[in-house]
Amino acid sequence: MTQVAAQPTPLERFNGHAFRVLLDCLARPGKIGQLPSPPFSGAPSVSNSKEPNLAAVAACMSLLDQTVSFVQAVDADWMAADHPLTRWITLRTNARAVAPALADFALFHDPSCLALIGELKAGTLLEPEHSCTLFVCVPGIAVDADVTLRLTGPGIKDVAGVGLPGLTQPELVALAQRRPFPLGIDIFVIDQHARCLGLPRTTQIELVMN
Amino acid sequence: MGYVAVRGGSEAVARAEELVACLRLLGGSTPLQLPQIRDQLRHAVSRAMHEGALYAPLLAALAVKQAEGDSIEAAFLLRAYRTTLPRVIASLPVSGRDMLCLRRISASFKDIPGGQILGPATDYLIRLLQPTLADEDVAAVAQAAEQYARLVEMGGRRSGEWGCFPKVADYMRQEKMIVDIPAEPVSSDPFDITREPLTFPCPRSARLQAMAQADTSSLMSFAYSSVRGYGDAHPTLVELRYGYLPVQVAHPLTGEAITIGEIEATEAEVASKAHSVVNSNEPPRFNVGYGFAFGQSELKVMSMAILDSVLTQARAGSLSGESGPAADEEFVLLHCDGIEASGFVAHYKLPHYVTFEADLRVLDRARDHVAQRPTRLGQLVDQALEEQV
Amino acid sequence: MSEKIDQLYNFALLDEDAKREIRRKLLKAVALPGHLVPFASRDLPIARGWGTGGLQITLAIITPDDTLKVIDQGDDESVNAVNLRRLIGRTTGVATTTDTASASLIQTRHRIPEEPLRADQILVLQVPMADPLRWVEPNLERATAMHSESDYGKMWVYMYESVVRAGDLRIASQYPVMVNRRYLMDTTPIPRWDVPKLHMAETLYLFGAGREKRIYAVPPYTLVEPLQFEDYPFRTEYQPDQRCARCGAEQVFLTTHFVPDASGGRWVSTCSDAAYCAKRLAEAEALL
Ligand SMILES: [Zn+2]
Repeated sequence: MTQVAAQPTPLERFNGHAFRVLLDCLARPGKIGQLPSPPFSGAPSVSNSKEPNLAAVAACMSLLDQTVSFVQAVDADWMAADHPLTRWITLRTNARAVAPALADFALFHDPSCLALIGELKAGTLLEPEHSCTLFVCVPGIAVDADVTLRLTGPGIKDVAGVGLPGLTQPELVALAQRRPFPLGIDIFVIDQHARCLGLPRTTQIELVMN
Repeated sequence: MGYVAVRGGSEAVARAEELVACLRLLGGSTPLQLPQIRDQLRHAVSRAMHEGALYAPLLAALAVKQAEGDSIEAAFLLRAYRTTLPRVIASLPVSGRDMLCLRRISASFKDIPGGQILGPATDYLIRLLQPTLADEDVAAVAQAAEQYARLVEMGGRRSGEWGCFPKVADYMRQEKMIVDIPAEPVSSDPFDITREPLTFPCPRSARLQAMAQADTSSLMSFAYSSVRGYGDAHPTLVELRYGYLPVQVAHPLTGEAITIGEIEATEAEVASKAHSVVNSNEPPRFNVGYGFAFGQSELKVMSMAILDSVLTQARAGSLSGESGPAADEEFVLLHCDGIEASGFVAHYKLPHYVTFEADLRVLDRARDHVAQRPTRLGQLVDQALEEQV
Repeated sequence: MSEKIDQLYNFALLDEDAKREIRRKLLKAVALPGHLVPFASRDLPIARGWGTGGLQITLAIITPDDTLKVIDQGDDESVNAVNLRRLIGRTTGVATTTDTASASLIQTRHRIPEEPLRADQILVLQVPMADPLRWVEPNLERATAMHSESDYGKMWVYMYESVVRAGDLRIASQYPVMVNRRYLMDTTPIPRWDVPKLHMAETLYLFGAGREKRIYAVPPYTLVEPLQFEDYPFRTEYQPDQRCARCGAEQVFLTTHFVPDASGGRWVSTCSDAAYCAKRLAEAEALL
């Protein structure tokens, strides 16, 4: 068969693979997906002491273009529109950096930012899809041991368990707080090993007390 | 294996494509060249361009040739090509005021500033077939050129501002006869129905874009229904102009307006007799409907302007659909696109074995139900009789 | 044309922005099972109504590593399936298959394959109508409001009337279902036989309506319940005596067609899933 199209560039290939991982994770909450290696490096630091989780940045960027907006947070605070990392992302995606209540996408560089989740838009009854998609960076995601969250809802056969070691009780509570369906925020949790957990708004999250 | 005959789709599709390609030339006539189509089938090319939503006369000529003159197919080919093109920049707003008019008429006033110019109008032609066209030869080309030069000479064109005229609608605005629809908030880019889903209620720019690329005949039917009586449109043609419009973009670095070319276009404005009230403190005025299309496409822009006016009126009075089907914005905009409508109507040629089989099963059950009815009635009668006894 | 000019198109035809828009909408569709998400729906080189919605989803999610299967009426060799596979193949170069089990991505019109689908597969359905309320409320603005409030009274009345008139729920294909007990959803014209396959499935189902410009999804392990009455329960087309005239399968959806033979010909019922039928025949032959 005659080919009439070029093969994807490394960035397009990454975007395509990353999307399939994100889609799979969102469709199967509790399943841990492995994101591919980002095809770039050299992103500016988040703060003096913190380098960004490049897998999470790249996964978020794979969905950004000039028609959508985003916001970032670190250390429980929103990042300014002129932050070097914000400008770096804007330059590469054309997405607009906006106020939290307007953002189509949000990137939380550490779990302490989960305190801000209530400021993100959750859609309306007529347009529940006009809600924020959130990427949260965490130190690690545990599957077998240390289960801290019990998940139920569409995409889960009976019940799924995952652990998010290093998250404080208030952070977990903020994560587990869901809005009345069909409103809500759809969340991707991404750890330092580029592992990904999807928590769509349909997932009920119950904290497991140890 | 008796099943091979009904399968073998790959082979059949490939052969069908080859057959179509052959049929065009089987008559043995000289193949058409694109400039011939562009120049001599002007209206077919215009229609392919406005319904295909791409201004490219030579490509449109190719589409007309490939589609063997089928207007919807030609527009479809251009649309499918356009979708692969990057949207590099949005032009600066183009105003009909800047049109170099070959023709401009108004039905509202006998005399208008700048005067009426009939130009190349087909409206008053006596529709008799011209046998001389049947065996035209190249000599006719030279004759046409001479004749055109004479006509231009007789027209007494003035140098300098040739072709530019004030707009009739501007005069009516000044005199507070008409009221414009409040402009939408200026955003960086215009609404584009090819990039954003059309949901309702929709902005007027989306409505105008949808109609600008709509099937001409569909718009005509909707507009006709409204003026004929399934509605209360009473349009008056404020102005129709046809000519060349310069297109400008802002220089990416300096912001300076730069003309990148000109397009052949037709534009119409109609005033609706229905009084439009914007707010209760203002006296009633006419509303204006707007129509625009590439090429000389007068039926399209008239139909579009009438529908725009009707829809504006319906939206303002929250009377969607109450003054006839053409006053229902969803109904008009979701059924006027030739590419979508033709695709869906034609899709019933696709196999529907599965759904038909499912329909048959339901039909069987409905038949059983009907067949049982007399029995049930009979049972009831028997029961009643037994009770009597 | 030379090789260079031939490769003018982007991988999978759509430009990257168009893919990204569809990907964003797909994520929202998965998070809102059964809810109609509007999308721009680009013009394609195939006609509206001929699978442009499913095709756009496939083109937005396909990667060079995928193995693709395309069916129409359950048949890989149906002319439209051939045509779509040709377009996807020429613009991606991905491997194609007719074997359901070998495919990672399946695009379909009117059927869900008979072989159970797995978690590592995605089924993309082509959708003509999208809104299940179309028959009772053609106006989109009002239908959207009804969905937002789960206001499905009109649909229940429609179903009730069909029971009174026809003695059964008259809707043959495109059967309406409640998804996750929240949204009423159009199952696309799949036969009733396929409807239960959507319920608590292992596979992700994605739905694309190109002309209607809507995307929706049913995630795995999601409640998908057909509308039904207690005294008129949902029934599939299944008939106890049904049997494929070719492979002998009983628990399948059959279609009827004419087979010519020496005495003129006859009408027979065979599996509408042609690849499944062929696979069963091959397995039976191997045993002999
Ligand atoms: Zn069979």
